[in-house]
This record gives sequence, structure tokens and C-alpha cells, in this order.
Amino acid sequence: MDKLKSQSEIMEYVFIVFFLVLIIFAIIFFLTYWQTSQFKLEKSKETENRILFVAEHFMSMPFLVKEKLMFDDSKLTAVTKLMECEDLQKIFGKNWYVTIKVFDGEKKMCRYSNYPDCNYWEFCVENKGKESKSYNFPVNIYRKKENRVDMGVMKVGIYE
Amino acid sequence: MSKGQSSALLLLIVIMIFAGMIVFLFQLTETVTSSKYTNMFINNLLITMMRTDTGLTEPKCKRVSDLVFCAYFDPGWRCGDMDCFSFAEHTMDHYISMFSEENLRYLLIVETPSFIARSQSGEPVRLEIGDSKLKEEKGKTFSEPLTLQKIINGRNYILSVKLIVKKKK
Repeated sequence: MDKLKSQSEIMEYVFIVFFLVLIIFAIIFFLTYWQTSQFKLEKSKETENRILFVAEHFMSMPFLVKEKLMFDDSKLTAVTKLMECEDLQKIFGKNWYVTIKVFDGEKKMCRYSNYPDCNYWEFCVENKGKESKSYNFPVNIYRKKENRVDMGVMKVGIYE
Repeated sequence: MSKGQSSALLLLIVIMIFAGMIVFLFQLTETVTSSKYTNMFINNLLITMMRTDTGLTEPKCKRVSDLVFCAYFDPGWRCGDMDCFSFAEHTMDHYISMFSEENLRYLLIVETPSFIARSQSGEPVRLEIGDSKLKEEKGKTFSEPLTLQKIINGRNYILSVKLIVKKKK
């Protein structure tokens, strides 16, 4: 009878030790997951803040806009011609790209030669091979020659 | 069950509740972060849409904000082939559909400031463009109210517009 009691006590201890080890592993696993998630979250927040920063400044830069949220197509075309990506990176920092597209049919890249018969501008060409996060923002584009305000979308991307 | 076993089980339950709470808080933080972009998106959407030219030259139909005024004060007026209200709805449907990635449903609520116009029942006179079911639903986002001002026949008119959007499932 005593032998049986001792055996059951040993089994009980084995179970408790097993549960404790399981709990310790679960805590270690959870803490690692928590740390990784926190790191990813911080990184994602930082990327999002950078996107919003670039977007807000792009939409209010006097050399690009007619008024806030309204780009001037002549200024956009002039900047894509006269300023290199490096020049813009001095203002907005590195590792970003911006595209602006008017909602009026097929994408037609704007150059001096085809202005104003175009609807797409690109600043710091997107590197498709690099992983990036991007957001779309509704914007107005003032078509100077036609004296008309169109609607379009600005895509701001940040490389991760 | 022995005392030891029940203690271990209790400990496990406490830890699971703790982990659940942390995961919940973590998800909550994530939601709060992305709302910054959503707010900026919806406010930009409302402002830019109101300022956009429709392609018609008539003063009552020139910009989307003119269509809103026309739909509110003179709904029978025709802009091209459509009346003001239908043309406003058609134009807004078109612009919202352009943001296909966001996949949005919308409702635009147009009101005069409440001290100016009220119905017989005391409610503010209100015009709704878009999906009016959105009012009753959860999980939608509101824009800041935007004040539109226009002088018609020498009189100053003011409207307050608010946009509500929700992602389609």
C-alpha cells in the first residue's frame, strides 16, 4: 500500500515538473514573440510616419503645388525635368518614391515634349526589387493650360 | 486531483489569460496606428473631391461642390443629361471607385448649419448622397465636417458636408 502511495506521489511530481517546464517554455516563446512583434510594430509605425511625413510635405511644397492638396501640372513637369532624385532626397530624406496620376484614362508619363498631353509623374523611380510599403492619397491636379482642376492619386512608398 | 496539480492548472490558466490580454492590447495598438492614415485619407478625399471640376461649364454644375449646392437648393436643375442630385452621385461614385485598392462604400451628408434650416419635425434639413445604410453600420470612418460657401444671386449660402466611408467586405 505504501509502495503504491509513493508511486502515485512520484507520478504527481513528474506531472507538476512537466507542467512547469511547459509553462516556462510557453513564457519563453511568448516573450520572444512579443519582442519580435514589438520590433515589427515599431518598424511599421516608423515607416507609416515617414510615409505621412513625405506625403504631407509633398502636398504642401510651394514648388509643386498651387495650393495645399492641389498640385500644379506645370510645376510637376518642371521638377521632374530639372531636379534629380538626389536633390529631392536632400529635402525628404532617402529611400522613398512618389507617383502622381490623374484619373483620366491610360497612364502617360509627363515630359517637356508631351506636356500637357500627359497624366503621370514619377519622383525617385520605384525599385520593384526592393520591399516597400506604400499608401495612396487623393489629390487635386491643376491643369494649367486648360485652367481645370482634376482629381488624382498620389502614391507614396518607403523602402523597408 | 491533488493540490499540486490544481495549483499547476491554475497557474496555466492565469498565464493564458495574461497572454490573451497582451495579444488583445497588441492588436489594439495596431488599430490605433493605422487610423492616422485613414483619417488623412478620408479628409483629403472629401476636400479634393469637392474641388474637382466636372467638365461642365455652367456655374451650377462646374465643380462637385457646385453640384452639392445645386442638389441641395435646386435639385430639379439639369446638368447635362442628369438632374443635379443624380449627376453629383454619379460623379462621386466614379471618383470613389478610382480608389479600387481601398474598396470603399461611402455616404456624403449635406446639411445647412442647424440654426438656418430645420424641417417641421425639428430635424436639420439634410441631403444624403451615396449608401445611406452606412449610417446604421459599425466600423465606419467619419471625415471632419467641411464648410462650403457659395454666393448665389448675391446671397451667401453655407453648407456643411461630412463624408462617411467603410471598406467593402
